[in-house]
Amino acid sequence: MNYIRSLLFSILILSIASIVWAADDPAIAGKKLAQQMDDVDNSVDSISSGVMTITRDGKILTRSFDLFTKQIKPNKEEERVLFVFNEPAEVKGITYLEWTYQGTDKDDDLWVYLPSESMTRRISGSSMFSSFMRSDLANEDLKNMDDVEEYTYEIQGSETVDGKDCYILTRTAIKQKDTQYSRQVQWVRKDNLLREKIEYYDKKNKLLKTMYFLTCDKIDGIWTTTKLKIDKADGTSSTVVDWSKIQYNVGLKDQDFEQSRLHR
Amino acid sequence: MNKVGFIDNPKLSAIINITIGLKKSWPRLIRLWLLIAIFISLNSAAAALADSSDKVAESVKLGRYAQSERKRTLDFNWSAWLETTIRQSTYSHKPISMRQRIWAETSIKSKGPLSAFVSGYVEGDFSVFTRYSYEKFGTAAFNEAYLTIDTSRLDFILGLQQIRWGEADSMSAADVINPIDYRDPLATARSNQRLSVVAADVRADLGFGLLDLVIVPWPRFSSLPKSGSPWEPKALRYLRQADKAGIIVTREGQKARHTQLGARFKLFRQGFDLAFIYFRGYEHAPRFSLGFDQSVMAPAATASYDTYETYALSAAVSLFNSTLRAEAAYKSNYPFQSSLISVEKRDDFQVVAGWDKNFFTNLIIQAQGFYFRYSGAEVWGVDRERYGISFNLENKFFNEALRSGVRGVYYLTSHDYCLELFNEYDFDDHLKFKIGYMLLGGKDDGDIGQYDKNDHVYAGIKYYF
Repeated sequence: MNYIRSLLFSILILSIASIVWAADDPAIAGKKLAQQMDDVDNSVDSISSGVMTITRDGKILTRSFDLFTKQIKPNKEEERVLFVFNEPAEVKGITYLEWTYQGTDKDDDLWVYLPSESMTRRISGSSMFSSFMRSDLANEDLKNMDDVEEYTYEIQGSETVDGKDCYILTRTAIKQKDTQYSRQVQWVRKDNLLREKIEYYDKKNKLLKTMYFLTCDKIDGIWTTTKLKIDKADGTSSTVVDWSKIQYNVGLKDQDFEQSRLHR
Repeated sequence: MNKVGFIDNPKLSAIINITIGLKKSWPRLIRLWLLIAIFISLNSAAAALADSSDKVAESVKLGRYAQSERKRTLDFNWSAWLETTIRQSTYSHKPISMRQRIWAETSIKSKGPLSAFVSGYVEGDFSVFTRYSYEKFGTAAFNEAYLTIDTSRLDFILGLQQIRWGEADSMSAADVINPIDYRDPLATARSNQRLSVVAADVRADLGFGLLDLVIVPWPRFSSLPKSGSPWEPKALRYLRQADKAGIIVTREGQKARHTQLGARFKLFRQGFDLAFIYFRGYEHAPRFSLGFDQSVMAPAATASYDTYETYALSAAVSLFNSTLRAEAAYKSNYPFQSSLISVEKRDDFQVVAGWDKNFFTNLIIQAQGFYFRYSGAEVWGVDRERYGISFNLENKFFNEALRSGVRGVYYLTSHDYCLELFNEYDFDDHLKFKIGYMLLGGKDDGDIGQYDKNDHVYAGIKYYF
């Protein structure tokens, strides 16, 4: 009897230990944090406008665009995004339609409408390494901001940045060949789970650029970044993105994200 | 006898004149003024309507989605640019073109389902003064002018427009609606210029696919190069010379009257797009048949426009971070021009397959193969099989300000080729430069080889206002 009691006690102790260990595992805790960050935006759809100001070589380049998003399936399994460019004149009317799928099993679908050629074309995902409209943002930065399943995570501690208490969260892409970064180090505010800054490291583990999340606001009950800045590590270039006219849950329809929308 | 051949026939020119709606008999200045006036009127009307709502807050353009926030009756925007391009022959050391162009476009979106788009240009080519030619110096034309009625499941696009079907990067077998503009046929070494057509495009979103039904009530035909143009085809030049010498009469045949019809059903699925295409319409370039004109007792080469049908399949597949593109077309009763000055109708089979992929950050490689073959008896002067490759290799430098590359097309059957080295530099958002070299060669009477003396360097500046 004593033997059975001892065995049960040992199992109990081991179970408690494993639960405690799991909770303290930086990888599990990191993914949980990433999931919580992703859940901050629980909207079904959104509309917004962005103005991107790029300062480089003493010149200022300006791009403006409208952005529409919609969750097609629950739990963000499938999201659709429509980008419509308004400025500069050369790219006005160019529209990107993207169907993104959570996880690494399915490749995303991407189409571009080129008004100068009156043509809609499917394009391949490998251009994700290219910069987004000559800015310091890469296409993959925009695409992969919230795709939790495509990364592994690790919490590396806490730090105060500009007076805000932050987690330090490192994320690493599962498919390394699909990214130009070896890792991204994110500082995540503990109060609203928005990012405060991100450092991007290249495949040689050298700092490539830093993204600063400058302002945020609670819009329609959702904490939202409204201004961010990207500085190249070599100091040659910087990009500021100002978001405005942000609205959530406006009732966009699925067909607003079909190819029939790709025209002037 | 027509002195300069049928292409200079004022009746035909009136049909194909790109200044749609503006009578050619009107003085050039009046046509130019009308074009500018239409632009200004559209802009002013839109601005007036927009400003009438100034009591409400400025709202940003969010398409038709953010209607709850929108306070303006109309969203209006416009853009314009100035372009100057010089193409200098490396063979004759004379300019092939010195085109100066002002381009303007405006779009107007209403609060409801209506929107409109108008684009047009005024241009002058100073190179026409450097050669004996029937080319015009100036042109004022609408490029596109259409109205869109945009509902949730059904869209109507009505007016002068470009409708580009098919998936291929170049040498498309399915892109058959808009005529090629032969006045300046090579936009790049692997693409050509197209003319817009007046059409009604009804686009239905069926949920499981997209159905396009297109009606082109008044056929529009390719603008052929004028006599003396560097791009005048050799066969046409000989015909015009024979006409001038009184050896032969060239004349216009029966005018084309049939409405052109097209339909496309396109499926968009995860990983691939697939389209089924049908088009019944004209070969937009004229074909000549030799006969005898008893009224002048001389041989006559009569130009005609013949219809044919296209059944095509096009597909684009995303695979391993690249895109595979393919088209297969069956062109029934396609009119071939034989070198015996006759029109020979044959069934033509066309297959195009290509692949494009980004490497590293900005290196783009596009490669495409094509194979065309007609059935039936041999057509004189036309290879039964035509096949070859086209390609594009480009990269971006200096923070993507400079785009440089090489692109071209090569016919393995006739050894015709066009090769272009190109560089495009964006100084800022307004000022762009381009410089390049285009090399042409092949068979003396080949589609490209006949222009082998048109090798040229080019330089251009574009300024966006």
